[in-house]
Amino acid sequence: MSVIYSISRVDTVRFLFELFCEVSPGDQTREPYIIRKYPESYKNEEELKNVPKFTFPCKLENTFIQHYSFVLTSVDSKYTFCFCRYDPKTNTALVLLSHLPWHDIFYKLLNCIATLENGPERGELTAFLAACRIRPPAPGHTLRVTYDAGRGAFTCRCPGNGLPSIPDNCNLTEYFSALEAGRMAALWAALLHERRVAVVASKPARLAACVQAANDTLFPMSWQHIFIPILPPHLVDYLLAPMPFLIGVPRSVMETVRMSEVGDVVVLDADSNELKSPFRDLESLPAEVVGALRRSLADRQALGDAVSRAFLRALVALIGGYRDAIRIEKGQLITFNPEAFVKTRKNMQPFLRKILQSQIFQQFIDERLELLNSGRGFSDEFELECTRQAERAGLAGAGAGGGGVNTLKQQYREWARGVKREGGAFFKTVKDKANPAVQSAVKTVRQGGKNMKSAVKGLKNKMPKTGSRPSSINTTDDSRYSCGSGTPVSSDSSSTSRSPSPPPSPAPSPLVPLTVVPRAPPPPVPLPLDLLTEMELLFPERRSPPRETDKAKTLNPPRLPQRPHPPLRYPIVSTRKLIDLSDAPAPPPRAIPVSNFTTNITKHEVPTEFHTSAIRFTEDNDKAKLKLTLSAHARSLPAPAPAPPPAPAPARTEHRPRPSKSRTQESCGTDLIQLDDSPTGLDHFDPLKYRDKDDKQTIKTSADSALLHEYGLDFGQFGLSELSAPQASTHEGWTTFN
Amino acid sequence: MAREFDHLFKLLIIGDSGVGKSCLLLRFADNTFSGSYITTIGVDFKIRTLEINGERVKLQIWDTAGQERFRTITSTYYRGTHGVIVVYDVTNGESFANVKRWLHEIEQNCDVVNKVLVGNKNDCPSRKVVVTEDAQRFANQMNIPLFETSAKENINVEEMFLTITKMVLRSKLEMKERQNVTANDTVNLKKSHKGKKKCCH
Repeated sequence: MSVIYSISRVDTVRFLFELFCEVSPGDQTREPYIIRKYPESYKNEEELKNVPKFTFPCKLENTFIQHYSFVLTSVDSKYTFCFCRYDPKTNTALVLLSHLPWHDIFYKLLNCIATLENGPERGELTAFLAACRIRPPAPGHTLRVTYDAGRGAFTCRCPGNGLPSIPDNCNLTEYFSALEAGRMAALWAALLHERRVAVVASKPARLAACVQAANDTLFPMSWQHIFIPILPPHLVDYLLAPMPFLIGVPRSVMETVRMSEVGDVVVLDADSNELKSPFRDLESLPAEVVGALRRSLADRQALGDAVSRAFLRALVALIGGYRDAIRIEKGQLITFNPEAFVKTRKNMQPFLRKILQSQIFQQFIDERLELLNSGRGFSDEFELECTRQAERAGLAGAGAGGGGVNTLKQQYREWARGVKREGGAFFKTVKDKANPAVQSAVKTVRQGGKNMKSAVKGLKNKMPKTGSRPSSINTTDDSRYSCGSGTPVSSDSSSTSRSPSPPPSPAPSPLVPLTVVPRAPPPPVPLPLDLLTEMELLFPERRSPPRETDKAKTLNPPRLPQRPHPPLRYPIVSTRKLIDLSDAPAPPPRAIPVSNFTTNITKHEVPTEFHTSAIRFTEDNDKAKLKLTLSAHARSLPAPAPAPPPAPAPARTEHRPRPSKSRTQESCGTDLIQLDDSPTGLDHFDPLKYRDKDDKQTIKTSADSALLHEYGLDFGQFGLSELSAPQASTHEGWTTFN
Repeated sequence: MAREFDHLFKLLIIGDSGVGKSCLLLRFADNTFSGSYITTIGVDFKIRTLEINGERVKLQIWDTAGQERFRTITSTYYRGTHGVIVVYDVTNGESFANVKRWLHEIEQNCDVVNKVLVGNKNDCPSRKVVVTEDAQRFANQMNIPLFETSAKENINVEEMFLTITKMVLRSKLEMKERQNVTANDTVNLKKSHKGKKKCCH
C-alpha cells in the first residue's frame, strides 16, 4: 500500500503513529475539541487545531461505529494520514495520526484501543499506546504487541508490495461496492487527465474510502495535486481552486456550494453512483484499453487484487512503454526521451502526448530516473505486469512496448559497471544534477536530523517535535529501537544479515524489475534478476538487504549511495545479550504503572520466529488481568506450532517466539526511518549501557520528569487544567482536558 | 443580479518555498485575518478586490505547497488560471534557477499569457545574489515584466499586483473585442473567455 504514495509526499517515518487523541464533536455552543491525547508532548499546534474539525466534518449517523480517514498536507506537501473510529455509544472519535497510509492496520489498532478503553482498566491504554508507538515494522516483519497478559494482541505486518485487494483493503472494497464499472473507469480517466474532481457522499467512511481507493487506481503513479479526502465545511471555498484537485466533499457541505462558481469540475456521487463531467476523458482513451478495463471491473464478484490489476493492466497498456524511452548512455545520466515514449504505442499517441503533460506522469518518470541514476533500481507490480504484457506481445509477434526490455537491462548493467569503475564519483554528479526535488528532500532530512540533535522546537518541521520529546521517553523508545527491527546483527546468527550480497529470502511475491533474465550466478532463490540485487553487488559496502531497501525507498526521501555509510546506524546488540536484557528484572524507566506488555517484531518467513524484541512492562501481577477479546490479529501470524512462552506469561494459542537460540534476523540496514547519516542522538544511544547502570538511569529518570514538565503543554492558555498529579501524569503520558 | 465585482480572476503564485510567496500575498490581500491553510491542506488563497479603469476586479490568488519537488510544473496545473506570478528570492540563486526552468516549461506547453516575474526579498543589497541585470535579461527574453519587491518593506508589491491584474484584464477585454461579444454578463464573458484560453486541450 505504501508504495502507492510517491516518495515525495510521504514524510519521514519514525513511529508507527505520531499521535493518538480522542475527539468530541462538541455541541451547539462548542466546536469539536480534543478531549485528550497521547503523547502529551505532541507539539504540532497546526495539526492539533485542525484535527477536531476534520474529524467531525458533518453530522455523523449515530447508530453504528464508523471508520474513516482524512489527510492533512503540510507546507512541504507531506501527508499526515488521520484515522478515525467514531463510536456512537461514547459519541467521540478515537483518532490516530500517522505518516503511513496503512488504513487497514490503523483501523485495527483503533479497535484494539477501543476495546482496551471500554474495558475495566482504562489505565492500561497508555502503556499499550507506548508499546505500539515505536518504529513501524520493516517489510517482511510483523509487529506484535500483546497485552492483558497475552490474551489480547495487536498484530501488524508491514504491507508488502502487493496490490490492494478485496476484501483486505477496506478502501478498495468500499469503492468497488459503491460504484459500477463505468463510474470507476470514468473517474480513473478524469484523474489521468488531472481534472478538478469532487467525490460526494453522505458518510465520511464512504467518502474517504472512495477518494483513497481512486488515488490507488493510479498506481504506479499517484495524485500530485490538492488532495483532501474529507473537506470540512469551513474550507468549502477551496473547491474554487483553479488547479487540479481530488477532494472528498460531505453531502452536507456540497449542498452549500454554488456549482456555477466552481466551474468545470468532475463530480462523482458515491451514494447514487453518478458521475457528472464536462469532459469526455474516458472516450479520449483508446477504446480497447477502456473496453478491457470495463470488462474486468464488471465482474461484481471480483475478489483479491482483480480490480487493482485491471487498472494496472490498463496503465501498462497506456504507459508501460516508458521503459523503451529510457536512454542509457555510458558515463551519462540516464534520461527519458518523450518523443520515443510517444512512439511506443501506435494507436494512442494523442493520449501519450497528453499524459506527458500531466504532473502525475512527470513525477513518475522523475522518480524512476532518480532511482536508476542513484543506482538503486526498482521493482514493483507495475514492472512485473509490463514484463508480462511485453512477453505476451512478444509471443504474438507484435513486440510493441516490450522489445527493449532485455536490451535495457543489459544496458543498465553495463552502465552501472562503468559507474563502479569510476569509483562512485559519478554519483556525486548525480547528486548535484539530480532533480531539485531530490536535493531538497535530502536537505530536509538533513535538517531534520540536525534539529533532532539539538531538539529545536520549530513548529513547521515534524521531526524536531518528536525529537524534542523528553529524554525519558526517548530512552524507552530507543531501547525498543535497539531490540526491534533496528537490531543489526546477532552473535549467533547463522547465515543472515551482514553479508552484503545475498538478499534475504525475497518477499512472497517475487517482483521483477525491467527483466526476467536470471543472473548468471543464480541467487539463492531462483528469482528473476532484480536490478537492485545487482546494484547491491556493485556497492558491497552497503549492508542493507536489497529487498528492504527497495521498500524503504518508498518511505524515505531518496538516499544517495555515495554518502558515507556509518558502520552501523544502531548499536550492535548481540541477540543473546538482548534477550537476557529483555528478561532482566529492571524495567525501562517509564514502565512503572503498567501491566504486562510484550512488543514483538518478527519476520514471517522464518520457521522459528525470532524473538527480536520483548519489552516487558511488569508490575503487580494482579494488574495484568484485562479481559480482552480481539478478533483481527490471527491472520498474519504464520506459524502454527505454539512454542513455550519464555516468561510467566499465560499460555497462548499463538506462536510465541522463543527468546533464545533462534535464528537471527538482519534488518538494521533496513531502517525505514532515517537516512544513514542523519546525525541524531538516537543513533548513538545505547540502551544497554543505561540498563546496565541502574544508578545512572535513576538520575536520568528524575531529570526527565523535570524535562517533561518543561516540555509539557501550557494548558493555562486554554483555560484548562491538568488533572492528574504531575508525576503520575507525565509517566502516563496523558493529557486530560476538562 | 447585483455583483460586487465585474470580473473574477484566479491567479497562481509559484516559486520555491521560502521565497516569500505567502508574505507577498499577506501584503496584498484584503482578508488577512481569514487564516492560512497551506500548512493544513497544502493550498491557500487570498482575495483582493480592486478597481481598474472603473471596473471592479476581484482577484483570487492561489498558492500550493511543495512546488519545488517538481522538476517541471506541467500545463495541467495552470489550466484554470488567468495569470501566473512567478517568484524567486533575490538572495537565493537556486530559486531563480527553478523559476527559469518553470517559465520555459510554461512557454513551451501552456497558453497562459499573463505572467510576471518577481524577485522578492530585495531589501538587503549585501545578500543579493541574483543581480537585476541577469533577471532583467531573462525577463526580456521571455517577454514578461520583472519586479523586484520586498514584502517585508512593502516595496513594489502593490505595483506588481496591479500590473498583473491590468494584464489579465486587458487580455480579457481584447478577447472580448476579438470575439465581438456584446453581452455584459460577466459569467458568459468569462465562460467564452476561458474556453479559448484553456491551455493544452
